[in-house]
Amino acid sequence: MNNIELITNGSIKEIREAVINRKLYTTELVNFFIQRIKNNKINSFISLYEDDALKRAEELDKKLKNCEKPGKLFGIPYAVKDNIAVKGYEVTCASKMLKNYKATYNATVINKLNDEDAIFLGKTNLDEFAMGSSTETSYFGTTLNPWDNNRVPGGSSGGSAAAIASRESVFALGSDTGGSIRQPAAFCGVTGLKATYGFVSRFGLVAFASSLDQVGPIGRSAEDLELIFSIISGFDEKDTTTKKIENYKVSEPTKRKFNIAYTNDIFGEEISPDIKNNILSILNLLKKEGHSISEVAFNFSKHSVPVYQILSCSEASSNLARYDGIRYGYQTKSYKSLLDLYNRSRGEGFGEEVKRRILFGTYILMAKNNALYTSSFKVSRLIRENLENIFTEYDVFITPTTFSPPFKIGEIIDDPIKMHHSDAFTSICNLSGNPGISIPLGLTDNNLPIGMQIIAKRFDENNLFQFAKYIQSITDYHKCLPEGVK
Amino acid sequence: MGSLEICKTNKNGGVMEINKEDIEKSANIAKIYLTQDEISKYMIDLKNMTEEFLDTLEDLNISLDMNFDFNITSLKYTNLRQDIPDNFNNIETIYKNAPKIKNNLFVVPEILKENKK
Repeated sequence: MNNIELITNGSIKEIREAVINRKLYTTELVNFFIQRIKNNKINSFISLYEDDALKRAEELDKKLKNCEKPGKLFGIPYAVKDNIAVKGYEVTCASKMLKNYKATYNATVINKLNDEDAIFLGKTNLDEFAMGSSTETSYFGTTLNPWDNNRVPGGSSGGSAAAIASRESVFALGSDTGGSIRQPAAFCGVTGLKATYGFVSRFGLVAFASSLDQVGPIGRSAEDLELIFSIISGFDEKDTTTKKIENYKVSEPTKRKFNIAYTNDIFGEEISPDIKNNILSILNLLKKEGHSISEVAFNFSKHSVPVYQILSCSEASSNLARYDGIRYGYQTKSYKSLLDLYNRSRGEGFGEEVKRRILFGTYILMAKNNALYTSSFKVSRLIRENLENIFTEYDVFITPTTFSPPFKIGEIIDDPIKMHHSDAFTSICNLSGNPGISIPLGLTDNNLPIGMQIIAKRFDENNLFQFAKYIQSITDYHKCLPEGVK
Repeated sequence: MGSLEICKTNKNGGVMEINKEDIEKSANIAKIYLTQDEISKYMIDLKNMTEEFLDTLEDLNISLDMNFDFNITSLKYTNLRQDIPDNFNNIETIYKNAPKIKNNLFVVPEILKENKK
């Protein structure tokens, strides 16, 4: 493998080893990605910090010369979704409201990555305040899907997923409230993880729906993601919902036979035939390899989204109340009173989708509608109990990540209900707290990526990664790259 | 546009409605200025979102009521930390993030007018 092949196709472990053995210089590595980000026209990054990244690369080179112990991510460049705080840099949430806002501290996950000698490149595009499934609600314009520039990359972490698919970084961080890591990972043909709620600190992630939000990695393979997860996971006293649990250790490759369940939803009319066929094809392969495969009735894909919308919008209406146009963020130019300043700053600073969700959440939380909010927990509990039942018998549960391959830009932006349904399979994990990973599963006849979601028991990421790595050891789907990137 | 009736009724036979006043009240509570066009559009969107949820309850045969034990969903762990004050050393960035600052204070519109005779 020459250096270009290594940078484009190598794993984190391989690239790190090449850097430590001086076969590849950190500045060469960083320059490669900077040039690629600048030359690509897919709008995956909101900001690029070229000088600071190169300075950091030089510092690491010195560290190596001084024979200091290299970190687990020594010299590995990474991108960060622009709703995660990196001290001194803008964190816009792709909103006019926070256009020039600079973070005053690092998110815990950023400190952990930097402690392992990773190199921060810049901030990636997203749907405004992570509310959306296509990046079309971003104040900074839509990111283009690297597989077909007329299509969306998914969302809300569409910039991070597109950056990995087009090899503008080795890995990226995203956030997932209803599927915002896994759906874009599926749409861009890369691998994305939402961990168990409480496994990764949310400190420094701009809050959308605090009981559902999780930070997670998007990358080239399950192997890379597990390494990142082992670094960013763990208890954080600054996030009281993180669990005091032993540090996660990277799992060993296994030859054991898995007990696999898959949803009967894949036979539903709404599922694209390409997605159904590719999932059935991988299930057949697994059966031939001696694993146990069972179909289970799990009919919550049409119920998860309305419940998710009730809960997430209710929390969002409260979380986004902090943007008052006085202490930070956008302030209207013309106002008559203090109340008028609030109303106009928020009316002008937030985009259409964010206002829709805040209004819906506020409406739900009115006393007269309290039963809507309360009842949503009943459905949420039902979903969780049904998943728990599945994991009493099975190791992993397989669903499609999405109903369809990536849709065209503008195709459903005026139909919020249809757009929300992009999260049908993924929001199940956010409501139940279970971990889910989306792995690439080949291409449609039109050369568009397909994703498959694997769900495991809560806090059983070890099992999840063992299975995902196993599939990627017997298939090459995760190595497929868009035409222009090869 | 007056009100949009949500046809799905709750178990008690009540009919839910979303009207212009609901949107205006929500916008007032949320402190968001809306145009008349936005009010009309959001009234339809909120009606559709609510109706979809009521369909879900009906499909799963779950009653629409306030009877739910929240202890079931609450986390089994809450790791509170000691409340120890810490010096924050990045106050300048906070000032720079503010739209208007005067003498290290956020500037807000006047709310009490001096009684000038």
